[in-house]
Amino acid sequence: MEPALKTPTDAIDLSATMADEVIRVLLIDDDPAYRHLCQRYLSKPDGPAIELECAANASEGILQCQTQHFDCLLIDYTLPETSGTQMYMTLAGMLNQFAPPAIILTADGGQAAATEAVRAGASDFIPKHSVSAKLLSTAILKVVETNKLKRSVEKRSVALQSVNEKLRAKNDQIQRFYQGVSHEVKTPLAAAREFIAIVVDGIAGEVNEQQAEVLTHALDSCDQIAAHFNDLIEMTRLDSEKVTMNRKVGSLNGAVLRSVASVTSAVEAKCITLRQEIESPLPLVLIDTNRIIQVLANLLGNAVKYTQPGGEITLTVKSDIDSSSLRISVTDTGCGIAEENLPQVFERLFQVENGGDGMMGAGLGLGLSIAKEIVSLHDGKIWAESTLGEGSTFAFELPIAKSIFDLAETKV
Amino acid sequence: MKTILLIEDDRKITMAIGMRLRSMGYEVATAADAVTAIAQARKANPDVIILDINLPGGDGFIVAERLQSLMQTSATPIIFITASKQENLKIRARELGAVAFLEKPFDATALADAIESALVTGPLDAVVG
Repeated sequence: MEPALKTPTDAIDLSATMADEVIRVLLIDDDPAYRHLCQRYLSKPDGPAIELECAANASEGILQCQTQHFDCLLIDYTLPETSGTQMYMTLAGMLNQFAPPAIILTADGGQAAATEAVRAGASDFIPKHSVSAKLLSTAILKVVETNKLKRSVEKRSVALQSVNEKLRAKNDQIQRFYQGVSHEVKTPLAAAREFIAIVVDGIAGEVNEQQAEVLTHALDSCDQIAAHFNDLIEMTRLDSEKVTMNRKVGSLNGAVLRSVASVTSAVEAKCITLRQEIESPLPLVLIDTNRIIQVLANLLGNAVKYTQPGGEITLTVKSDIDSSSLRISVTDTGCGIAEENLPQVFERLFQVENGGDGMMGAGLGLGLSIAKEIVSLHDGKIWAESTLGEGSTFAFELPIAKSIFDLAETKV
Repeated sequence: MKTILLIEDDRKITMAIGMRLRSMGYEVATAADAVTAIAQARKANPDVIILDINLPGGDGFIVAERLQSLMQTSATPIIFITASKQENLKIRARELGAVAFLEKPFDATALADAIESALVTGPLDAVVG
C-alpha cells in the first residue's frame, strides 16, 4: 500500500466550521447495496446536512482520507482485504491526531467485533443490520460533536502544558536566584562569624566577660541570618515540588528526643520548665524523621522564643480516641496570639506584631509555613490555638501506620 | 606539626579560617584558585585539605579529582566547605570520598571535629554525614 500524499493538516481547522454546516462522512463498505442504503438514509430532507462519500475497500478509503477532509468515517467491520478495525488502526497510524473519528459497522450481535472496535480507537459501533436513518444520523452527529469537544480540550491542554512549562522554568529561575543570593550573603557572613568567634575565643587577644557576652549575641545573629536564608531556600524548594519525603515506618521517640535536645540550652538559659507528656509506647507512624524533627524543633523553638523566663512549655504526644492519628502539641505560657491573627500564623513571614505584654515579636519567619508544608506532605494537619496573654498551643497530627498497606505508601 | 591546605577564594574566609587553624596548632598553606591549589599541594604536602566547592577556574570537585591524582595528595583527606545549599553537592562530596562536608557559616567546633576525624580515619573508610 502506498500511503504517501499529504497529511490534511489544514483539515483540522475546517472541522469546527464544517460540522456546523455540512458534515462530511466517508463510508467504507464493499457491499454496493449497503452503500446505497446508507446514501438513502443520510439524504433524508428532514435529517441533518450530511454529505456521504463512499469507498469500496480499505485502500480506497485510506486514499480518500489522505486527500480529503472527513468529519466521520463509517467502516464496515468485514472488508475484502482486511478488517474495518485494522484499516482504522492503519489510518490512525498515518494521520495521527488528524484521523477522523470512526464508527464501526459490526455484524449483528458481534460482541467481539464491538470490543475490537473500541480497542482500535473507534468512537462508536453500530450493528449493521439494525441501522435506521435516525440511528445512523444520530450516531454520526454524536461522534462529530464529541470529536469537536475532544479537539478543543486537547488544544486547551496543550496550551496549559506550555503555560505550565513556562511557570516551571520561571520557578527554577527564581530558585536559582535565591540560591545565588543566599550564597552571596553567606560567604561574607561566614567570614564575619568566624572573625567574631576568633575574638570571643580569645585568639585575637584577651576579652572581658562583657565583651564576650556581646559578641556571643553577634554570633547568634549571624546564625539567625544563615538560618533565614536556609529557610528561604527550603521554601522555594517546597514550592517547586522538588522536595520528597523519605517516609519510613517508625516511632516518633527519636524525633522527640532530638527536637527537645535542640532547645535544651535555650530552655535552661531562660529557666523555662519543659514538661513532656509522651504516651508510651508510641504507635508507629510513617515519617521522614529528619523532616518531623524540623517541624517539632521549630514549634519548640518558637515556644521558647515567646515564653518569658521562668515560664512553662508542655510537649504532649498522644494518639486520638480511635487510634487513627498521633497528635503532637506544644503549649507555652508565652504572650499568645490574638484570635484574628491565628489563621495567618502559618503564612509566610507572618509576625506577631505586638505581644500581649508589649514585647515585639521576633518574627516567625518562614519556619511555620515550612512546617505546614512538611506536615501536609505527611498527610497530616497543623494548627494553632491561643489566648492572648496566656499562651499558645501549636499542634500537628500524623496518621498512625496501622497496617502493612501503609508500608506500600512510603513513596510520596 | 600537621599541615592543612586551605583552598578558598574568599580572602576574608581564608584569613579567618587560617587564624583559627593556626590557633589550633596547625601549619596552614593557602590557595585561592584551582591552579595555585595544585601547586601548593605539591609544595606543602598537606595532611588535610579544606576545599571550597565554588572556585574560580574549576569547581572544587574537579580540584579534588586533580588532587587525588597527584602522588603527594592521592590519599589526603578532604573536607569540603561551601556556602551553597544545592542538594547534590553533598552527594558529589561523598562520592569523592570526602571526610566531611561543612556548610558556611560553620563554627570552630565543627571544623575541629572534621579535622580530627580526618587525621584519625583518613580518606578511605570515612563517610560524610
